[in-house]
Amino acid sequence: MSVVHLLTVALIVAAGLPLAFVIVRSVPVALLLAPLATALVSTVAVVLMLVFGASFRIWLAVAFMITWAVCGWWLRRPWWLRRKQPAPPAVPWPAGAPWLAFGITAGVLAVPFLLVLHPPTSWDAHSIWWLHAGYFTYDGEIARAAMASPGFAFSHTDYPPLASAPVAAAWTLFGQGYRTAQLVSAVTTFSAVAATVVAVATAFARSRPWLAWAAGVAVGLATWATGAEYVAAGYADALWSACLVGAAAALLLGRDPFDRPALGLVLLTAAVLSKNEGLVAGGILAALVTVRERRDLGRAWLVWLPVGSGLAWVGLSRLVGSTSDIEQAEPLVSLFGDTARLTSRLPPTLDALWETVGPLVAVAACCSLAGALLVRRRRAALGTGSDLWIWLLSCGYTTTLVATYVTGPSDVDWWLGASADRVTVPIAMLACLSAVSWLLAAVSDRDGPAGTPERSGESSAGDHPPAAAAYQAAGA
Amino acid sequence: MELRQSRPSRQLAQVLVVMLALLCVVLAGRGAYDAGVTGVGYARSPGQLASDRRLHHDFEKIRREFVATVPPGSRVLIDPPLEHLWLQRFSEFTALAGGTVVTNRRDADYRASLVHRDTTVGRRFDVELTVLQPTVPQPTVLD
Repeated sequence: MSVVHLLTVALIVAAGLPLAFVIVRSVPVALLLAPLATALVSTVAVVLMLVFGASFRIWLAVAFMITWAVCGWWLRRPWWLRRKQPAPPAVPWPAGAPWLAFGITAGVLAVPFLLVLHPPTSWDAHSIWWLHAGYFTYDGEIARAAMASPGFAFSHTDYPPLASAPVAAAWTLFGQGYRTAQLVSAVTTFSAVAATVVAVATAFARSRPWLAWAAGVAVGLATWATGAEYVAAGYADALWSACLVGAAAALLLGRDPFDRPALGLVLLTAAVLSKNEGLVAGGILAALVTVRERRDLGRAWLVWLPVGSGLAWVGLSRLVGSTSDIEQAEPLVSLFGDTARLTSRLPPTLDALWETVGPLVAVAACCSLAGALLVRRRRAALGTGSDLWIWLLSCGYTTTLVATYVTGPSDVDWWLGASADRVTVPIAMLACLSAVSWLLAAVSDRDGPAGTPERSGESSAGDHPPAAAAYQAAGA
Repeated sequence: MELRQSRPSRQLAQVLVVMLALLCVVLAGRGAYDAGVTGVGYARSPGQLASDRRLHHDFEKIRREFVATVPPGSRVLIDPPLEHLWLQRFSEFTALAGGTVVTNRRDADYRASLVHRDTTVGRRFDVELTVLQPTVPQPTVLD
């Protein structure tokens, strides 16, 4: 690793640090989140460039200057307005030592990230994410021409820009190079996984801090469960999956997710702006959060802002001239019109998904069932949200995945072989999230009475989806 | 409703849930363990990555040639047509140079051809970039 590479990583962290600190109000956690914050601001610069033209360099400077100014104003606002500083997020610190938690999280996650030592030759990283970073590096005219070019159709130019934007930013400052691209991609993904660890630990804040962090690290390590070789290789699958699962932990398992929703909403925004699957899964998550928070829609509507940003990108990319191979295959026509094709593609799809995540999901489902029957009161006493929300999210995403493979344009065997292990990462992570939520309930000291309110002013059943409430009422 | 349990059965229930959850964590964490072992292997004996490193060097060399030769906004014809890996790499190098790929020779500013030579350590790759417009075709061989 050269001095330029070290400088690149340092700058990626430093540039996003003010925004990350505003979100989490803790320097150690902000250091973990900073590269993802840099990616988000770089994404804003890409969008501004596509909309208004001019060079990426100018928009990059404008986006970061405005972000830093707003962050400074936001942090000084209580002092100027003579108001009390808002409370930081309730991250449980093991032994009251934030830097210890930071060191252990970074140290443990760094070991599997050693795969970044592999030379940057991975297929999708080059053909999709770094190719997009290449045309983002210049100006609006060149980027729009490239996105509309039939010669780049294989590159899925409609894909959202978050995975490419920080690479384009680094290339703008330090010059192009694939080692730089791979490092920036890996650091951004590392940040997403670390932010997920924090979100999970915060969701389990009423457990013992060490256990809550261990649960977070376990969910973080599940990022490598199905497609380990892709996590540090420049692919976007681990990035959006980790962000989605972090957002799910914050918004579906948190005791009062909209008390301090910033981390969950930022992770959801990163998920929907990283890949098209992230937008679909993010939409499902937003719908579930809306149902869960149906009595407080005045705050719950916020969850649709990230989804709106993803839809805005879809609109912008279509306006520019990008096309989607999935859309062109007319999936709805295929779904309802060609039964023979569907029936021939369904069995290999289900077989491939079972081979990839089946045993893990089966064990997690058994754990969830055993937990619901045997230790649900302890879970309620901890104030952890129902994990039925997590399973609904997992089932919803899996259904869209199966529908995509069954109706998609590519040869199904080739397609499954090329992608099934990457697109099932969120299913594996959600299964792990469900399992650790029951693990923490089982080892909890708390043993509240049945129906202990999970949140003040709301019954236990109020936090559960209708099916779960019926399940409880039936005394199952 | 949670099943009513006596104290020993409650402890047994806790153990059962903990065991299932730990099994799930182990299954989910196996990939990270394997990735760590492989990564440590890369650090200890980088020689196992020699062929990937050569391919990476070829990518970088050809990318630099594209960026140095093809001005932003140019249109590049890949001729003769390539398939799979090198079609996508040449398209990528064109994008990194700020150009677009065209399939009609009349629309193209540059022609890009893949050249290779066999060496003792395997096949190495290079590019031949030719200006098509506005001047008379003039081969510019770079190595």
